Amino acid sequence: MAAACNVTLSGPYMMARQVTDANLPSGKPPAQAAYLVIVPALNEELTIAEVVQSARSHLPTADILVIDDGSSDRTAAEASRAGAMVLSLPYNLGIGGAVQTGFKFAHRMGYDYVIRVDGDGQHDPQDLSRLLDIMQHQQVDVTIGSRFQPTSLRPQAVPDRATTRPRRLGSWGFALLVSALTRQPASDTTSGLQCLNRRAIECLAADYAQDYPEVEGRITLHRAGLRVLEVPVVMLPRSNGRSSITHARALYYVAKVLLATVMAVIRETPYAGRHVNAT
Amino acid sequence: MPPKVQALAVAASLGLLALILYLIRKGRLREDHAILWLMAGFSILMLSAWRGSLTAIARMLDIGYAPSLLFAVGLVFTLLILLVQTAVMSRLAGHTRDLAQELSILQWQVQRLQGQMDHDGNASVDTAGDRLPTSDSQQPTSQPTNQQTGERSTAALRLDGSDSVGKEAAS
Repeated sequence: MAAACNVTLSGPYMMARQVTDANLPSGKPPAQAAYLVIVPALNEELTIAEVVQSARSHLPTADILVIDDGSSDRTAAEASRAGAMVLSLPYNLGIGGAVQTGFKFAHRMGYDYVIRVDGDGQHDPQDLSRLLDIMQHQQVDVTIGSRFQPTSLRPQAVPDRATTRPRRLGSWGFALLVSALTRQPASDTTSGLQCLNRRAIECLAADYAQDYPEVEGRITLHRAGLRVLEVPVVMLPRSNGRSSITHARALYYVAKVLLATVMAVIRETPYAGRHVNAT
Repeated sequence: MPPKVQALAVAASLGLLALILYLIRKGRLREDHAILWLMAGFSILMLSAWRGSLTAIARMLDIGYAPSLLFAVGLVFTLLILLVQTAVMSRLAGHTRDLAQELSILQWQVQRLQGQMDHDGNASVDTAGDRLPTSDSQQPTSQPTNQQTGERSTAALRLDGSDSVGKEAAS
């Protein structure tokens, strides 16, 4: 399916299409590499403009795509006013469905790199270019901003809601699980700050969970033979709104993600073993 | 099996079969989904109408009260049908997700093309950039005619094709 809908609309976004992996011998991006920042947003009208503007100022060459996941407020209008491209989903799909929309868009339009950030302004925009740099220099397919890595470059100055004790415990458990299943170090498997190259974009555009996708996504990437590197980052305090995970949903979250993650190891997927990298 | 129980079971399974066939005839039940229902209906009908089969199977399985075998068969089919339905629902949920994602992307593309066509209808300047949802100052997103690569020139050609349609419509 992905191949069939690859060339549907021509346009200015196509410029990057001819830049293929073969053109990247040193892992450095060519001058015209096309970057896309994707921001899934559900009722983030107060913060979305700021997120768009700060992403633009830190990555001036990137296009910015906000995926409005069926918001009932003015998220789409605010994002559009701030200069982002906006995809409006007809109804709420869940964070994974929204992010996957961005991956599909990026894949189809021929973007070389996707930087995913959350719409609530918790990610430090300075980290965006840092993640990109590290991805390109370390020659990995995905870099993920990790809040929990012990070798954090900066101290965890601002404790936020996301790092309460039960949540830390859950994150630790998932990290342990992902580490064991992928035999790769993993510390923050629920991070929404990620940089992906073409191969990773293609992989996740084809196969991504609709809700709570991050943990399972690590397995999907691993099974596709893609290299993932975690980079320590510091989360900013949430300026507005609450985490999408409430206490009532926590149990469902753990059960669902646990099942999905374990099943992701044996599930049939079009991408398993697709890219076998010489590491 | 007491005659009253038998009569009830036969009537119920006949009713079920009639309802299934009615729904298929009306096109409200797809044949592929109806197969399991038909199998369930016929199984129960056979076991209840042909008393010998029920008692024979019950004896074979050491079931003391033969009619309870009817319940067991019904329950197994119910579980099976429910599981199949959940699987179908999962598949449909995947399809609606794909459609919703596709819709949002297509909507964006239509809006952009419409902007370009409107623009070309009003002024003959061939810059599609300033009707894009993004700001025009961004190099990669602004100028389709600013050809740097072969890939882009085909892109521009196709855009010209759609542009001329817009001009014709306007004139």
